Amino acid sequence: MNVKNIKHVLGTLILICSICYITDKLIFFTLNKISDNVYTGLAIGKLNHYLKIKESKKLLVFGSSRANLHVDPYILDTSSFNMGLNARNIAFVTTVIKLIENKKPQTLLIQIDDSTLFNEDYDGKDLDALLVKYHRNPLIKKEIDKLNKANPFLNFFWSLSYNNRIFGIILNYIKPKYDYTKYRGFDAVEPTEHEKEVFQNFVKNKKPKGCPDSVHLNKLSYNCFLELIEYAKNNNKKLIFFTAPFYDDECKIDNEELFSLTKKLNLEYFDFTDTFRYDTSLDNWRDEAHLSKIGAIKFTHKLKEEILKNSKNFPL
Amino acid sequence: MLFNSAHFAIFFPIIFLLYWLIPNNRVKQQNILLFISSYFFYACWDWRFLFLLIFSTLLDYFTGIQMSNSKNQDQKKIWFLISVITNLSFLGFFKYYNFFIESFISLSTKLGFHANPHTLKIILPVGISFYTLHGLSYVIDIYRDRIKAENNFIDYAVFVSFFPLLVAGPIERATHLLPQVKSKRIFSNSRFNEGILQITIGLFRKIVIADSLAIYVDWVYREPNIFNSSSLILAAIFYAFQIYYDFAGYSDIAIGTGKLLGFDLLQNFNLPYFATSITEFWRKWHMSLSYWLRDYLYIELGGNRNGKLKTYRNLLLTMLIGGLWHGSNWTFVVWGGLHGLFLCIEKYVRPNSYYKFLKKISYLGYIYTFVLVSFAFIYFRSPDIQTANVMVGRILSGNYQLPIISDYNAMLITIVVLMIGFTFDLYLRITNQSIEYLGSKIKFSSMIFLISFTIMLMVLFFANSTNFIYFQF
Repeated sequence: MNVKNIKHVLGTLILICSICYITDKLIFFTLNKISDNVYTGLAIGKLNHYLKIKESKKLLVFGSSRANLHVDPYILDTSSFNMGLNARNIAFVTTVIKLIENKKPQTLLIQIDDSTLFNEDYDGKDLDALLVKYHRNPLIKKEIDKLNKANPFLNFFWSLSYNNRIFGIILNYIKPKYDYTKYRGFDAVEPTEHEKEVFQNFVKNKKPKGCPDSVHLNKLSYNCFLELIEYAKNNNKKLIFFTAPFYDDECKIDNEELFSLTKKLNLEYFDFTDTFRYDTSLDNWRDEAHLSKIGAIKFTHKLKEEILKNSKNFPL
Repeated sequence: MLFNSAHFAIFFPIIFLLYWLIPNNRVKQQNILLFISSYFFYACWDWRFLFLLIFSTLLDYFTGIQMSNSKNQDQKKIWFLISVITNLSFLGFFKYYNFFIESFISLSTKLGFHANPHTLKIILPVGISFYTLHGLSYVIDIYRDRIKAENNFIDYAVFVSFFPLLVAGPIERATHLLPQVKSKRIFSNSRFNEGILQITIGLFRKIVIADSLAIYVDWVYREPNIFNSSSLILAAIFYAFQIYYDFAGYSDIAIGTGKLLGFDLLQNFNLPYFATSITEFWRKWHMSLSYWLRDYLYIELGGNRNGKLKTYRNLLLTMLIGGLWHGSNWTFVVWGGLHGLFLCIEKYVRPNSYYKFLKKISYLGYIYTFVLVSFAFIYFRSPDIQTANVMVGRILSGNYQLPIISDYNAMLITIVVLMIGFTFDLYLRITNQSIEYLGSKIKFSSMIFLISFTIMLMVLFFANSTNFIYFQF
């Protein structure tokens, strides 16, 4: 390799890096402009909506799709919002809760799943849903960096935070999916005929999976609990945890562990895992982990009833 | 260490710099560096299997020398057989032991016997199928007097273990690669341009197109019996593209990496879905394997020299063995068998006007080839024959409603990136260009634009990366 070759290699690489760097920033700032006006859809809309109303609601619901599809917050209180999102767990929930900056009394209803809390492999990957705000929100950046969940290339390619979200954002910008001012964050599901058929087949062919002899609480999940308790204490928030129904939860060892953990931490917790167990009509279900709209409405009423039994001032 | 990992992004630039900084491009020193870096590359996966690689290399190196030094043909044959049998025994043990034992148990049970031989927990050493074929081609070529044995161990070891092609090919020939290993490599700007463009496009094909397609394919293949016919057809079509972009992407990175180090590796894919027949398809798909099978198996079996019936037998056998080479599962055997059958039928009807007609209307030929290839891939992708049969049965059941889609955003991205990939292939086809030389054929500014554009597409659309499909073989 001679000097001419070295010049060519360096020149080519520098040129490519410069063009990519400039293009990346142009794309990033353009997408910021667009996405700031998007309040619908899961790519960024729901998060933007939440960031807009989080301080003003008395009751906020958090969790995975098993919160999003199961809890109609309007039944619990008219000043409410369901921030449940598909495949999001305790690390995501803890971060979005910490984004609430006021010290106004609010009730935070958090859905938790023992399958995640006792999963030793759980590493907070669900935080990637917040990558879209990585370069724009210091708290989100801090939380993502803390768990080392940022792609190292994000420091060079800022638009990497919009990875695989671009169409969702643009489509919702051009034509919002719904009127977000009327949206409460509850996405009820009415199963299609195909889904009903699939679920019926599942019920018919279901075989026992077997249960573990012991379960261990994931360290990250435990830290999230501690952070939430600390946050709630300092910011006048009331935390209520619950586990949503499963069609057939064979193993009880994790439920028992979770129950004793919440007792130890002095947390208000309701276990609704078996609320519709072996429901023979199947109308309440979409699949083994998710209720249908009918089931979700029934469940929300039941949730309200149980919370009110324990607590007079709900929501705060 | 995967090509699409951060580790490789650190590893390769270091090797590239050290390699070209060796004064006067001294071949000996460069080969020592390639030897060490290739073994390091392999050890990153599992250092214990380095011993197997070293053993296999030493075996072929010494048997090669012994064959060259043999005084008569019988002695030469003995050394040749020692090498072939040992190589195939290792491959057979690591790759097929459990498969044959389980098939034996299954057959015995069906016949009413209760055989109970032990299966073993065997880890398949990555790349064994590829470096075994390297070694075999070397000893066969010496046995057939096509080449002379290599006396320099480092040079031979670099031929077997050259890291760009160590784990998944392209499967090189000693006649093609060894002379390059032995001669002085000269850095050229045009070769550098070709290399970086091909690497970038290979990465795009893998982490954007193939991995996006994998989302739908994996979802459907997990439980095919709950999907309607249209969804299964869509998954079959997507898989045909997924495996192409996955493996062609891998090959692009391997060939591009080789170019940056001054090597020309064998072309592995040449727009296979623009083939008008299965025969032509095999001249464009995994070319380094198909030509290996042709030269070292089909022709060795007699090829088409002993009449029609024996030609069909040889074709079928070659494809069955080629299928089994991919993995220890009957699904691969069926896949190979189907291709063998298609090739035999084409050979039979070739003189007829039907085939000529098909060849003339190339679009019809493309569709005909793609349908057959996608159909055979159902067996290749399925975890077992039963699942593949369920897929085929449900496709034919006539439930042709709209395909079931769970994530419309992911589907939209998949279709868009597939169209980008396909348009690029179409461009290569229309302009009669080869991706291997594109970097030096287009203007420098166009190359810079194409690379930057592809990188930005990767940033915006890369999907969560899965392993390269061919690593499992």
